[in-house]
Amino acid sequence: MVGSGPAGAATASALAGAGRRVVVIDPGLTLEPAREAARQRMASTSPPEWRPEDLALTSFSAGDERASNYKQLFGSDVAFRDDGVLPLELSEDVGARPSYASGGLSNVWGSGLLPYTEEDLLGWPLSAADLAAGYRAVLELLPFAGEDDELARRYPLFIPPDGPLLRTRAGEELLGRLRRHATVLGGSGYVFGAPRLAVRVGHPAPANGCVYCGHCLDGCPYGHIYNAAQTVSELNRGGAIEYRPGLHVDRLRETDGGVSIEATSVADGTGVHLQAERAFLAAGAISSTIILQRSGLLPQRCEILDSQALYLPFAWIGRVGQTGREAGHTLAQVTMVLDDPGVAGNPVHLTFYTYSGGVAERARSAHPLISRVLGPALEGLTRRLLVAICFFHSDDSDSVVSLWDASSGSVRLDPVSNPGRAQVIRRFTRALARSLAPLGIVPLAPFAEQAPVGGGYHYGGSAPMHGHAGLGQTDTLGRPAGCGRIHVVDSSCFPSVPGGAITLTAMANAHRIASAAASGEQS
Amino acid sequence: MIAVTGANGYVGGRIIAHLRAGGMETVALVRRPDECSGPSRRFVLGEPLAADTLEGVDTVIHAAWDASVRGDEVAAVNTEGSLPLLDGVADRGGRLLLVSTLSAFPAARSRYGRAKYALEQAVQRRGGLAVRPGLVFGAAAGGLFGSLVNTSSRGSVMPIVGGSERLFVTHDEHLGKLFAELAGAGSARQRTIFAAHERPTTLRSIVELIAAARGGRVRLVPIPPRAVLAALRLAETAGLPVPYRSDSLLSLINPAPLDELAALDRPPLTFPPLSRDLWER
Repeated sequence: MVGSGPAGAATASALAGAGRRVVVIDPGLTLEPAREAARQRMASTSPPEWRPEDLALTSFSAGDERASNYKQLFGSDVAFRDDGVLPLELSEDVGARPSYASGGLSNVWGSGLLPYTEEDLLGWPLSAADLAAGYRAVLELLPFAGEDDELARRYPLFIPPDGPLLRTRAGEELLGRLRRHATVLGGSGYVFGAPRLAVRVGHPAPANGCVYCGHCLDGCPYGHIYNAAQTVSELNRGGAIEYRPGLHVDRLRETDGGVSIEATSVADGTGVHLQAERAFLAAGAISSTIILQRSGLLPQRCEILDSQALYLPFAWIGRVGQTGREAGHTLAQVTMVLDDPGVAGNPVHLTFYTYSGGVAERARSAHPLISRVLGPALEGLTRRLLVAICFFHSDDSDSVVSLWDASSGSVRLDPVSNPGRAQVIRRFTRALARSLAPLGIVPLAPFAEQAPVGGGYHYGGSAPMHGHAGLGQTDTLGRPAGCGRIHVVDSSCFPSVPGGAITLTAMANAHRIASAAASGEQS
Repeated sequence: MIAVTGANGYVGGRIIAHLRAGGMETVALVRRPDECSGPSRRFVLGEPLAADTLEGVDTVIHAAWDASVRGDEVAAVNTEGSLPLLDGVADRGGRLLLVSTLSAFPAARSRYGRAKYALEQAVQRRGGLAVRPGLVFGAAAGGLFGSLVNTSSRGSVMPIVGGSERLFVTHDEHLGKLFAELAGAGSARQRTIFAAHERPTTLRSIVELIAAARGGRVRLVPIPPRAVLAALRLAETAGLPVPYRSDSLLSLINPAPLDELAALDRPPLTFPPLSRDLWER
């Protein structure tokens, strides 16, 4: 297993469950000791007892300028910190970045769990039924907060959720307004409901579930927001797998009866060689792509598909409750999908967030002039905002090209523009204005921010699965053309990247491939 | 034997009926024993406990609450007035189970919520356990839900105050079942229990559901809560009859914070959501 992120955790779980001997290797970067100590102190007490200095150290705004463009965990850049092994050059317009942390991108994810529909899987050599067992297995593995609501008509739950993650009053008001206009919105292609989140909701809190402290965006000190490192650590502790952090995998090569793995020690830069019966690649879409390029299994110039994000603020009109002045979680409050072919060829997913401290901070950094003019009034105004993160299908998004230069031994990531994207965004914001403004939820399109390509961290598709895999493709078990023992199991093997939550499907597909490989299935 | 105070009231009555249906030996502790159908003894909040009130009793489910009092009297009668009973049970080594409310929490704004919270603490200091139900509903319901059923069926246009606040519902029969389990098994639980359906609803949704069950559709006209609160207080001061108490409205528009709810223990049974078949039997 290469990688300890969500796809790696699902694979390791499936293989260990099938009685296979599994070794998980990755760079395995972890939180700095001071921050980890602060987190542990916080986890051992309840929020009112947290020390101010621990809160300051672990706040999302505690990181330095260098890390401010990337999501942080407890104020640390650990999720995106360079491990110092591979020279990587990033174009300014690219937000994608590999994660070398133990747990990968699940250190900083929004924890959304929504399966792909049959429509999302158009062009895939798989149907929704092929993924169903994987979805069920993975949801059993994860904490699963959710509700059996109108969303289930389009997105099956697979298993009963553990319970609801309660919304803030503003979140409740938002969903209430949408539900009161469900017929009209449904006629315009909208589907919505309570978000499904990989968050523990057991009781009593904080020991068994969310305590609604509002620090979700900093990181949950109690570990109630799922992190794949938890699964890997539990399997390792229980002896079901062996976890060997500190290794940056460079290349994979099939040999007679096995796979040769070349890696570099993160600690001292020395080369390490491992031999395995079979290899599962789940290093994250950027790292997996680079490993495949370096292994000669993908071309030196390779496109990575992205489901690009748009951050769209909305103004609340009317009574909104005591937004931001109550205990609550700061993850998504409402999930919405707009499926209107007149707007975009593929469904656009929106996750709505109500007030958090980050909104005012983001407004200050994105619009410094307006923020200075508004002064102290900015805080009050941002409390009357909702923010939706909107994810578009990879067909409606820019993409990233990974350029492997064998002579210099370095990689460069560049953006590739999609000429149709601007038009899709214009149609999308107009459609929202037509449908939601009459409900008192007014999109503020001029203040929308487009994330740089890859900046929403929903990417993959560099080694797409195909029924008859050719060069640069993989078969339905994620094996690159000509390979029998190397499986690409993360989102790199997605034929497209639909809008919306990517992690659940990445995990379900990884689980499907690992289960099939463990049982000796060939195709 | 299990004693239930307030057994002539809606919630206490449902609990004792459930205990009796399960064959448990019970006694109702009520202001007017002659109005009770089963074994009963006299008990009045604020009065000293008679010598024989707790004779043979090993568990007391305390549901009595005097809703007729106002102002400082709410705590004086209901919280302070419960202490002789609580002390009596504790002195005999008996077990106390309190019917509290989800409106009870440290920063509650209503007198009802604050007095119930103080009572919870008094119960816990004596080794007892508090159970917090939400809006109790059921067939032929009393309390706030009964009032809603009555008023929601009157017309197609209805004013609503603070209709979008989070509200949890508790089916009365399930509440009875929970108390039967807690009293019967000698449960070792100590942490206050959340006794409601986990997924919240809103007053607006409840009213719409009741109207739909009656085959109608109600048009809700939102009214600013502060104005209604002021009007209710004025009417109460003037001694005029009001459909809802101002203190109930205060509880409704200031629901328990989520961190408070999350910290509560969960019961060994699952409470169902509000549905027509559970209140229209």
